[in-house]
Amino acid sequence: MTTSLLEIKDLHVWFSVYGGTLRVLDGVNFQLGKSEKVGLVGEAGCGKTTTMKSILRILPRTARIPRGEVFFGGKDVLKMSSKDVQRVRRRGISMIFQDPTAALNPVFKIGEQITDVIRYSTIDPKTGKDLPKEEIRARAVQVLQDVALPDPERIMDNYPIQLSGGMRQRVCIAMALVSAHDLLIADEPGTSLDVTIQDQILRLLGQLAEERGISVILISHALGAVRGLVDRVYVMYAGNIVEVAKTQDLFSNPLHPYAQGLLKAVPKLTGGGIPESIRGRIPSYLNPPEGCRFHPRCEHTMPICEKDRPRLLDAGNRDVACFLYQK
Amino acid sequence: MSNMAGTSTEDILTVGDLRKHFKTSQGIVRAVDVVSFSVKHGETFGLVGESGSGKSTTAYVIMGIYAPTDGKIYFEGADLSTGVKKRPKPLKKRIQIVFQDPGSSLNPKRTVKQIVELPLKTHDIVKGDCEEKVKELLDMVELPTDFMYRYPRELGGGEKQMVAIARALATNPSFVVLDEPTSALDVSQQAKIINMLLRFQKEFKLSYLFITHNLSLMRNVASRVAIMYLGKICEIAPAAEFFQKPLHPYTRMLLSSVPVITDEEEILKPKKIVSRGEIPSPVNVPPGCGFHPRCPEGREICRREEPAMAEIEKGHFVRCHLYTIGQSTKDTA
Repeated sequence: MTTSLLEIKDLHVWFSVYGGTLRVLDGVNFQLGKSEKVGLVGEAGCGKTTTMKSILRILPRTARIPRGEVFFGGKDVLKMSSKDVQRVRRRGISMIFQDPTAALNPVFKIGEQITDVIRYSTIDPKTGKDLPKEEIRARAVQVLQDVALPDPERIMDNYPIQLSGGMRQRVCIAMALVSAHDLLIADEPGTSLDVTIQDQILRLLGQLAEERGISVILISHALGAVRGLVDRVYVMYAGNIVEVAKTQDLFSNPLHPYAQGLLKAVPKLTGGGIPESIRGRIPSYLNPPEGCRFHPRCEHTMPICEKDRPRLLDAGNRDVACFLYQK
Repeated sequence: MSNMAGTSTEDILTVGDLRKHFKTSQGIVRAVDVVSFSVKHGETFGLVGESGSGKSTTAYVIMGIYAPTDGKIYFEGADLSTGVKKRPKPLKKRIQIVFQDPGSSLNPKRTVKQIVELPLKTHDIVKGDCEEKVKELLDMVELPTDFMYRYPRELGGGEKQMVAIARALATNPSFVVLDEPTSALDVSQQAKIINMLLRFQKEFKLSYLFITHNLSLMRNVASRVAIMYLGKICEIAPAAEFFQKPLHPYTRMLLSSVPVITDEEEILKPKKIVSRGEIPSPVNVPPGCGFHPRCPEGREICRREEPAMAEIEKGHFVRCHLYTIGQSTKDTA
């Protein structure tokens, strides 16, 4: 990668809870180039959303970051002043959250919510002045049109409850797009929706990102959706990145036992049953297993896996964190 | 529509011209509008469709949660169309259901033991203490015995669904409705639950009505598949044929939108059908064929006349003008 837009180095995120500390993220490394589309996949509770929230510094109060750096455009977000972070949130990174119903305020009209986003993301940094009202409204209508919503003028006057799930998700995407300058983080966009709507939304995302040269991080546990959109995929398990590869390489030949199991367990359109590939479930973060966090569920456990943590190392055309490939 | 109504000995459940309409302030919602199908003994009959297509309502009417507006339901020869209050109790225990979200289908204030023993007591299956039978049921779904005194909130999503399955199987049913049993779970949990359900089906000779919007999953569980759109069935076919030779434009659109993970699947998907629009409100159903505003092959006749179900090949039914033009189109129900 020649120019990297985002670089996460050795990120740890802990949560203080009753009964101890949840050590959730455990040394996450992540890189993203300009105009690159990357996927982040893994089971529920593996830390995908936590990683993304730490980029924007919107973790809950119980969280702390004992170690790690998040460089965005060369600057460490974690060390920025709150004013600088605000600027990143307004003009640099925008995020589409998992649940469109929860992300929209139910008591304000769509128009008010979207014009607010446009107003704050376009404040002139030198003079501190807003755009003219008509200009803001015109942009709002335009972006609603961009996401293929019918009759945007009417939708501006609707409350979120008057829209269907697919339409709400598109409003959220419109709000994220209008402020996205460099990076768009899409957390499970459309996985709660029907396949035809999901298909439309993913196509729209890819198309808009291409047109504007925005980088995209797509978070999902739906592996098929990721495969259709991104260039590279990060596979995450229990707070660790376990495999990073080009989309084609990962899906045709996964190396990490967890990635292999995950792909095997996806039902195929061609039939043939569903193999049970991974036993057990994600470990408790209060007492995560020593060594490789996947070893209690792994079929290839070796003595070293219980003692040492495998590092994410080069394995030919990709990086894998597994002792099977590190001799 | 007479092609599938009427009972035969190999069918465990027959649904004929079923309707379920709801009155709302905006008008009548035709959630289920003339649906007919039958489920054979020991098979898994799949029902797919987008949200709002009426697949869950169909299941709830069969369960007796709603009384049908019109139409017939026959189960093991008995007429079930009267609604749940008039159903004889011995018949009720033969039909069970597993709901989509185990978080809300299990009572949070009851222990696993209380949840699983309720159907045992209601149907007088065990006299007195049910502990032995509950143990047996938990053992069957591979949950440790000490889960008996836990509350649902102390269990993971997959484990909660196992409890729901144990509860459904407690009364020794012959027919189980599975309403999106794994859509809230991760793929690894899903694989475990699906394989367990398929094992029980063989072991206890169960018939399943399997509802899901996940077509890839459907391919791997169902023996026959029906697809619903706006309260009507568009196409019914044996599973292999349904996925290899889809006929209805809606089936093709849905299949071409499925995200897949291998190149072999990519080849199977119908090409060049770009999905557009979304399912309209069931209050204002478009005239003619309900799918015509989204249909890539819509014609003049589709806007005026409702197509009738026709058998194109043996066991492969489709409701679309594309396949009936030129033939008699007048035998609409």
